[in-house]
Amino acid sequence: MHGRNREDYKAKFRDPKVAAGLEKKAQQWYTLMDALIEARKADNSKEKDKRKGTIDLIEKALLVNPDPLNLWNHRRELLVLEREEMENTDPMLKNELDLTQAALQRNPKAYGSWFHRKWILALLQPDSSVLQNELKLTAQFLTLDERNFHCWNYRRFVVSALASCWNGGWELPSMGPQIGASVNNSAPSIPQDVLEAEWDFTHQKIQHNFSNFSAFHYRSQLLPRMIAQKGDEAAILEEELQVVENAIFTEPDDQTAWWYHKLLLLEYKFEPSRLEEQAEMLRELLEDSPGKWVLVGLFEILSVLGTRKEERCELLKRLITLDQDRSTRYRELLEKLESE
Amino acid sequence: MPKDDRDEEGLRRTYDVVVCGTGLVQAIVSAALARAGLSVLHCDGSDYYGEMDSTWNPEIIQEKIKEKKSSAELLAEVSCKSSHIDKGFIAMNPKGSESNLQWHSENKVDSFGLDVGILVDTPFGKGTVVELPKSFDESIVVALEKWVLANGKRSLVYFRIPHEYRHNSFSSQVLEELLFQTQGVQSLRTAKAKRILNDHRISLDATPAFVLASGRAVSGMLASNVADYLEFRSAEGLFWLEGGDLSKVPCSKNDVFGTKLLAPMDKRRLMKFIQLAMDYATQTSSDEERQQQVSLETANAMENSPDAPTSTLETVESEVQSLNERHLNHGRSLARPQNKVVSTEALSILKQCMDDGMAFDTFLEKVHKLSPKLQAIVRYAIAWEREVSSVSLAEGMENLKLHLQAVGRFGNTAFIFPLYGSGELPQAFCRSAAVFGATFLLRRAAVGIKVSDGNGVTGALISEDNSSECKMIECKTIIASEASFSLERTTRSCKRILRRISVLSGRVIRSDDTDCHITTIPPKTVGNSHTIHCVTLDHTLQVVHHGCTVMHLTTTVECDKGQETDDEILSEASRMIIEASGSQLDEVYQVCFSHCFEPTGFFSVSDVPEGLHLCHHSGQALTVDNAFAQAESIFSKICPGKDFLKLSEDFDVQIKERATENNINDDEKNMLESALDIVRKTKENKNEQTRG
Repeated sequence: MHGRNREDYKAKFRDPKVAAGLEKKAQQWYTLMDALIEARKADNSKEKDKRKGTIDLIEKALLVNPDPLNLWNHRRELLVLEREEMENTDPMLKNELDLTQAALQRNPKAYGSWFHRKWILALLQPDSSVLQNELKLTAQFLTLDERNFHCWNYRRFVVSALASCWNGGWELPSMGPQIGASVNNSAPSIPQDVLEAEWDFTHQKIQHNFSNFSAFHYRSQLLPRMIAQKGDEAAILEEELQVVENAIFTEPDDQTAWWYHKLLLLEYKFEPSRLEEQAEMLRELLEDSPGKWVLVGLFEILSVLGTRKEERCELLKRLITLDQDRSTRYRELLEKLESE
Repeated sequence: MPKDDRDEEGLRRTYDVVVCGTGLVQAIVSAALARAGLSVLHCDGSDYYGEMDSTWNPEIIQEKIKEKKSSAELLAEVSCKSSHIDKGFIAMNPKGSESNLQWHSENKVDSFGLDVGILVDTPFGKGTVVELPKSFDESIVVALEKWVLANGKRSLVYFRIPHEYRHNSFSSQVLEELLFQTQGVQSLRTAKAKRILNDHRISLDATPAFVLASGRAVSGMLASNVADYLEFRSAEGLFWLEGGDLSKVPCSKNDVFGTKLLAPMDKRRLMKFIQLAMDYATQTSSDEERQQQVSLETANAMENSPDAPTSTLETVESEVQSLNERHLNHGRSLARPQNKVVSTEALSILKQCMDDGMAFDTFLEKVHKLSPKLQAIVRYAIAWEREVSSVSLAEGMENLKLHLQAVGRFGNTAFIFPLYGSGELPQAFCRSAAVFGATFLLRRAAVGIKVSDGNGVTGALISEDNSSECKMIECKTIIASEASFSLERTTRSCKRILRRISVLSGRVIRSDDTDCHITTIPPKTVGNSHTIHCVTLDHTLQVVHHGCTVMHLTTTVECDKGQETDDEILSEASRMIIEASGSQLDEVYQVCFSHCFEPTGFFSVSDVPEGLHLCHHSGQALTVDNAFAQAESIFSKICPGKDFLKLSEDFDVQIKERATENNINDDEKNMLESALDIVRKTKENKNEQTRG
């Protein structure tokens, strides 16, 4: 859905034939909504077949438009009641997964559908084979649009569910994405094979298009776990530095890699000689493409090294003229640096 | 149409146009002319469509090689049968554009012999040869895979050739053949080779035809709906063979990012150059668009606007910026991030160098400071240069423009390839021509044209299958391949296209899921003066048995008079590629041929008869886009001012109406209606209950 002209899309609806068709659909939609609001008010959810009828009706409405959150809420109220009377919940799980999948194919960025999918997993707590399948599905969704952050969030939720499955039970404190950066004892540890598969997955997505904040963000969350499990911190970090360098030299004006670069510099320790080497590379790059991000990046490296005060001042001065929107910030940094 | 206008065959006496030969250019023109409402007779001496744009199989090739009759003999046959050969007759070679085709070698290998250690198939299951006989009196010993004895050893089987089959010559191949006939024992390698060769699917393209994902060819196929007859797959990637290594050619942002071929600073320089090429492409195409618009406007208003359109630097800048957005889908992989500052300096330097007439390689080296290796990759693999001496900067940039604009429109590369072989293309256009009323005659070659005193075309002579007489068809316009006017094999020194096609028992490039790749071998690698293009196509293109590959190697060679064409170059290149691929590949079938593509010089420019339109072979090219350019220019000479290959407006309206009627597929509507049905029914139930 990226890179499409909004005007072209809108122009389609100006055709009177299309507009008339939409008008008719809107009328039908409102009738349907009225019927559903009435059903919720009537509160006859205790009667089994009426409840079933409403659930089916909501399903149809959601397949047309997955956005209204009230419909999803209504559905969840009814599903909770339904579940109490059920012995085998497998058909319910399958139905809800199918519904959300169809809704997401229609609109891959509808908050309601993604949340509902998480909710049904948390409610019914299926075994890991279902979760593995969910991973495959998200991978498919991410080939269609590798930058769909909803899907990335959902994937992280599934992975943490897998982790808690593996640790012997479903315990999900909240519905948000679960994998945090901290590697404290309370966070569920991810099974090694899942962790490595996820690590490779982000790698693959970044190779496909490195202009992908979601993939880099996930990688930043996985990185401390990889280091904790593999132990070989220096080798892993070197690999990350090289990914960043490749991206920077391919497209120095893409902010994504610079963001990850800054994270690496601030969160991890590198050999000063390695950083000196990178600073030298950036100086060469600066001659070729004097852009804002190269200047900022070089400044960050030198700040971490704590050397070459004059060069840093010089960089800030260049930034003040180049990036005037943020000149006050650079001035402040400059004053601080000069007063050191 | 009155009945007497047609002869006993149903052919008319007069046609608007006679098209000779079903090569791609002729097929496209034929479709365009039929669409424009002209009566078209289209004939070809072969029993298949496409001539040198066709797809052959080993049987067809063997028949062609056996065909010993020279062109002169064929012509003599025609002339003794015909009473039309007199003044004003110009003879044509019935073989059309295949006239100067020359076969160099053809080879089928379906027996690799037996040896100790190789895997064989026996009636008792698979096994390994342990011992080979030295004569017919000894047995071959095979250790079976699945039969293990109590002592842990594999069980052995002994096979011996029965007496009645033994003969004097004893060799590994003879042994294998006899063992297979009498005992059903065969090496797996040989069995696979036989399977491949017996598969009816071997499609060998006389000219492998990639189509640029955006360009004349694609728009022509879409405009004419010929695309409906065809299926395509996109090429997976471009490769580069140097120093015995195959490596991916970086031609998009991700390729540059991912490649291990380049050091960081090289990546930057290459990206910068590619982006410049994209900007140039963007700017020139919007210049063209604007000029077209202006010419339309002036044509409409019939007045000359005083300020001619000039592209000032500001307009260039705004276009370059906005275009990155506009073409995100096409060249997304190359587009800058949205916040990138665009400098127009590089563009103006490029313009300056173009005006100075700089060569392409000089520009890469001096202005963009690309390393020698990068220069070679850009020149030969991305800008499609073929010779060591570089083209002009303008030509190089034009090629880059065509290539880069098409990258990523369909799939990862700029190229798509028709399923079932390139021969599908001319066939699809012929089919489209027939749908719009053109008459097709196969196995009936054009053998000559009739010219009036004023040097204008008056008719075409079509050979007959059975009857002794050739048939004269009256027409004022004829389209024919230029090569068909050369009656003897060219003896002048000329440039020839040399092609070697082989069927391999495995995949050449295994890094992607399927094998549909173009590999460039730069000049001077195996003594080649021109680049060698290697096209590998696997079973996913429906051209060969599952898991196998058809490999086309193409280069241009210059032959002096009488000198034999050196086909050793391509055998060597083939060996190099197979070695670099790192897989165990058997070459099961191999054929090598060449044909001259330079004009024969039969007609000088001034004495081409009026009404005769000649089409030429476009030389060594990866794509068929040039055929569309040629076809368009021929068409516009015959039907000036008419739209090329466009559907008529009536059709267009009809198709659009049909599409809007197809609301049956509107699942939104269906879903809403079924939901409302439920609502209505529950309400009715309720009413009944309250009434009850």
